[in-house]
Amino acid sequence: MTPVLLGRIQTRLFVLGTLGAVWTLIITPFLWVDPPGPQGYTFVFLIDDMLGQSPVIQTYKLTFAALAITAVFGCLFWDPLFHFLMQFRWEKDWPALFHLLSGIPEGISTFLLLHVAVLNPFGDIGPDKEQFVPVPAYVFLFGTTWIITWLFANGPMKIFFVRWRFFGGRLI
Amino acid sequence: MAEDTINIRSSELSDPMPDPTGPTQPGDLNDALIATDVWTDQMVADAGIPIVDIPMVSVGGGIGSFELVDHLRIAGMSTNQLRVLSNLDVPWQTYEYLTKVSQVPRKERLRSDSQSMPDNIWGFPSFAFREAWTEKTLDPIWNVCTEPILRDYYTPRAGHVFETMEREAHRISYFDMCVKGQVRMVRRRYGGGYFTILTPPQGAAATKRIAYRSTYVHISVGYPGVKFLPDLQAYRTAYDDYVRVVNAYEPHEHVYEELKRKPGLVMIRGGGIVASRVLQRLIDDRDAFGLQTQILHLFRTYITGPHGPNIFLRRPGGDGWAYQGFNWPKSTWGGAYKYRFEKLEGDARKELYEQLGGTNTPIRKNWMEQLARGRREGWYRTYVGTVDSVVPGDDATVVTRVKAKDGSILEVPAHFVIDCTGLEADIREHRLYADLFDHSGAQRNVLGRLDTERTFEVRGTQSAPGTIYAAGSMTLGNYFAGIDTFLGLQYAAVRIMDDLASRGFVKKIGPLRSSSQWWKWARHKPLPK
Repeated sequence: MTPVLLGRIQTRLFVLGTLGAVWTLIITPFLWVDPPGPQGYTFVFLIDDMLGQSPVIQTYKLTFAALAITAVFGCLFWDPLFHFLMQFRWEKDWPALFHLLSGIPEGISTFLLLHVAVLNPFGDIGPDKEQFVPVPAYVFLFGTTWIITWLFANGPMKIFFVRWRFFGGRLI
Repeated sequence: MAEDTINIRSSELSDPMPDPTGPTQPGDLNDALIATDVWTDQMVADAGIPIVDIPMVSVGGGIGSFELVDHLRIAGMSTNQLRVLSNLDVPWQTYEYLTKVSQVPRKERLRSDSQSMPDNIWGFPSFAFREAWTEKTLDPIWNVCTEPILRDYYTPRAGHVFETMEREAHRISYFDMCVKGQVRMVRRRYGGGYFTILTPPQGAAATKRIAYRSTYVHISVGYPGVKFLPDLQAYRTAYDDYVRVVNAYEPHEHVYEELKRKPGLVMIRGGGIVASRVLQRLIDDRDAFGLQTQILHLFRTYITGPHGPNIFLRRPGGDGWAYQGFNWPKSTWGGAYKYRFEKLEGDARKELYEQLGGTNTPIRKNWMEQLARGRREGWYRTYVGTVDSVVPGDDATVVTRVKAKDGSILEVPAHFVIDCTGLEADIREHRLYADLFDHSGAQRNVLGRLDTERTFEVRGTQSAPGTIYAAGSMTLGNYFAGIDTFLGLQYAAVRIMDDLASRGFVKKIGPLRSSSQWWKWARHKPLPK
């Protein structure tokens, strides 16, 4: 698939909204984190308490915030930028490798944006909030989500949408 | 057929049918039919031509017909709704003939994307994955994940493409829908739809012609033939020499055999994929048999590096060649350029064709290595210029008089000249197209070929409620540039299928039907007839 701008945006929203959301839903309770307190590293679903609320639900807030930021910021910033860079290519294509590697800057931008108070579900918890974007868990979550959605968009997506590859990634 | 056109003799029937019994055989075209643009049922009946009713016919029977039938069958069409009228035994016959003579036998790789699979309308799992699966290797997968940055483009083996197509043909009962013969003409029918006149093989039918009366007609007959460079044709005609001056698209194995017997000079004309393949064959032979073949390569335009009017339109190139993965920039099949072509009309579209067109060849590491070695060791030499004339020389050679930019003439003798330019013959060389222009309202497009709509309907030929669709190389110049490729034929098939769905001929393929049909394909489950 050689994307057009609208195709990039639609495909991003579709794969993150379906496969990305399902994967996030499945994997979040199994993230390996170091919550506040003396417990040390453990799985999210094994944590007893997180600021008086269910740790699983609290973590879901964070992981879905990451997903939403990747979707929205990608549409607003990364997709137009990649689209612009693509214009320098004679073939006006975007190799699968570029798509895969763009996960690195996008992963960093989402990580940084999670530290903006209004975007972080724990924005009101004070100076300790950075520990609520636990780096190893974030890298694992973002990396796996990125690879799964990348694999899907480079292959099985076409099973469902027979015209998608001819329309620059546009679904509608 | 014009004298300078090389017939693609992939089929014994490809010439106009000989008339076995003379004019007395019943059921032939008469003067009234030939002269009349729109026929009534009575006119055909009066001529004694039997009429077969069928909702749709596909004329050609090559990969274009196969693609449309595959899509329509998957969209739910039963086999009794369509007939493929063809002189070919199998859809890949002409294609295999052309690739084989131009040095891509079954074991060699085509110039085609991994996801352009004639046997699979979805493009998944790609040829690379299927090759990885059958050959138990991860290399093709690594290739498609890193191409074209770390690796050259993955391309499938010709044999893999033909074998999978054969399997799919059986799955969809393709051969049940084929009728053998040569299509002479398609004419509009008074009251709607069309008559397609088929000349069956000698002795196969009681009458000389059979008329297929259908609402829809699909035409995908491919190249009328390949054309020779005019200077080479002039030489061949003047000196009656068909041995030393050959076209890469005609059988020319004798050149390679002769070079094995004694060392010789070979001149290559052209800078495209066929030139690359022929060079590879010459150099492979040189390496394998220790030959002393000297290669002289004549470029009309010598490309020294990246070229183009601005930084957004700069194609890679070097050593004479323009480099490009496939025969059009990749986004022509479904990205930025596809949309651009779709929007443009007339001269603006023609201009884009000119900007993106031009002869080019893919970058392949082994080709680069071979040619670099040839340059270094002095047995591969390039020349730049236009050809003034070609004349016989001493010692059984053919002398090409090359005119350089400054007007000076250089005489280059060679034992063989291989024309790899692949010029295509004019569309009127095919009687069927000539008849469409003369009698059915078809027009030429900006590149002089058959003008179609974005839906691949042939402009000017409508006969409501019916319509004629066309796809393939003879429709180049319309709203989709990559039409003469596997993926292009699939795109055309999708658009035609969708247009037919909007007319109620088949169901529209949505996500559910698409995925359930893919699952059937994956299990190789035959479709109901």
